[in-house]
Amino acid sequence: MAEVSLADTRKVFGTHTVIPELSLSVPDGSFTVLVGPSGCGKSTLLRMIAGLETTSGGRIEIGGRDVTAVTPSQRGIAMVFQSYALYPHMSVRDNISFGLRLARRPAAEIDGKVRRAAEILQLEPYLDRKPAALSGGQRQRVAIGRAIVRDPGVFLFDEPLSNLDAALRGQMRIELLDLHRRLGSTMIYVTHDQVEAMTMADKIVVMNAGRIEQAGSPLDVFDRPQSPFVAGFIGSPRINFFKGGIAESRGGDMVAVRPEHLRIVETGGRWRGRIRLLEQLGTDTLVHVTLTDGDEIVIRAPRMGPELQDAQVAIDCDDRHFHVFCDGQRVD
Amino acid sequence: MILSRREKFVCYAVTYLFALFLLAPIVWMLSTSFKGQLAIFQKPPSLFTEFTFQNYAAVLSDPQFLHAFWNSVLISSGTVVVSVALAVPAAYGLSHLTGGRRAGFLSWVLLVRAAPGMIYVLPYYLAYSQIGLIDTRIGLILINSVFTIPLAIWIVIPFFDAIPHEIEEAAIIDGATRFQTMTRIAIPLAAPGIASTAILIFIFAWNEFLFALTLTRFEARTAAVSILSYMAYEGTEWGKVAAAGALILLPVLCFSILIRKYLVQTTAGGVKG
Repeated sequence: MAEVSLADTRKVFGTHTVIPELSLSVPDGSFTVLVGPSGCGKSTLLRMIAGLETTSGGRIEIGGRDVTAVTPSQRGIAMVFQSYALYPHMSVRDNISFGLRLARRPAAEIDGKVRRAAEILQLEPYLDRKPAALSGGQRQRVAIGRAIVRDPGVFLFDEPLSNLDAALRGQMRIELLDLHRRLGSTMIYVTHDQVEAMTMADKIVVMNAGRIEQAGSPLDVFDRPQSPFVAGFIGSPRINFFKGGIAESRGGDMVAVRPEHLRIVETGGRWRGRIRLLEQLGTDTLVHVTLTDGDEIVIRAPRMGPELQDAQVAIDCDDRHFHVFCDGQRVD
Repeated sequence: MILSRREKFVCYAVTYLFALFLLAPIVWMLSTSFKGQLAIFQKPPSLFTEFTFQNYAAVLSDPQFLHAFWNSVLISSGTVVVSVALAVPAAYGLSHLTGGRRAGFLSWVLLVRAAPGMIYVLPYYLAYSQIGLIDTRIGLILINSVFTIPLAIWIVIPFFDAIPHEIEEAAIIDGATRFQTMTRIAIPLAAPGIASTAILIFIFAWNEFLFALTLTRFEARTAAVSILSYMAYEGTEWGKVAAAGALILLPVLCFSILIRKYLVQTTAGGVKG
């Protein structure tokens, strides 16, 4: 187990700055998720922690040790790649034990560690198979097994579930959380999927354009987004933004309200509009409304019938559910 | 594209005519190799008037031809070893270069390969004369390698390029050095391409004639050159020429079939795809 800390870390490719001076502390034993849109620098940051990318400035510490100039294998980390990155010409057993064999560990130790990893990941029946003979989920388990046997202080996951189908992704999410609980290691997990981030993380780090927009617990980030970007990125369906008088009256230039905090009312209401579309989720209905000023908003409402399509409605929300922003920052 | 019967007929006819044009000399050679001296000059000529192994028996009991054949085996194998040993690491390195440096280096490599062999004959003859490499197997291996290494680099690079970089990065995280990543991950994954390249190098060296003719006398003479000894001042022994030609063709045929086998091998399963 190990704490990871980055101090003023920078990454520049040629003339293009991918990560401008970033500092971050990942607590020992935490499951920290780096989340952000494609190209925001989250994978680059993970690769810098792994040592697969050099740093253009700053300092990276793992377990209190400066590893900025240390080779990947000496950093006490293990990494699971999005594409599995298994060795296709080796059996599952050889894939898992490759690092130990390189380190010339005793055969008994190698065998014991491979068996333990295979048992944790339910890979025992497949140890002598080649990766090509495994399903996507099994291949990803082998990749995780290869990480486990290294006994790393820090596990790094680079979008490990994005190649799996939805059902398997859900199952693997639970397996990874179980693994985290079982091993107690520090895990840093990169994803662009905010649902994955919310459901798995102890700590979420929301990134945008190489910068950290906000870091905190999933509920804190959800309940108190510090910028319009975080408010818009975390939460599904996307939060609704309003400008104009309603924002100015609250001391900001923009307010945001989550779809589940808006409600359709019979009388009064702050906004009026026409129901454009109804998306049935089973338990709830997502109501897409075109407001009288032309803005589009989404409301998560209890089940509503299709007869309300094109109906004129009034919409309201409690004052406490407004997130107010001014110049891109939260106003409390 | 769907072809009409007439179009299909024309396509097949052109294909078979071209194949006949290519294969006719080989068929003639094989036919001649099984004929006696009289049948070879029979008029009108016939493909199969006589069937005898006397030409093969004569060639295979000729110590000069056997010596030359053995030279060909050693020189071709040696060329394969030297070329693969040097070209594979070079290709691996170049595969990891990007941008202009890679393109520039590859252009220079190709230039060496594209230059006509005659340009090299005189300087190499003079240099070899000075350092005692004339009429030596090692001399031929070296000059063959000058031509086969660029070829091998160009053929092998795409096989290394095709290996997903995450696989090598996974090995580096597992503690592999760059050399171990090459030997234990990249080379096994590019093995089908390397094997095909080795076969092509063998065939090139086996068929090489210009340097074998100009840089050898007797000791390092190769099989391809030794055929000339049957074309003497007193007359050409066509039966022996054909039998020797057929024997020289045999390994080339076998290796050509092997190449197909290697090229269809894949490295599936390592990454999602």
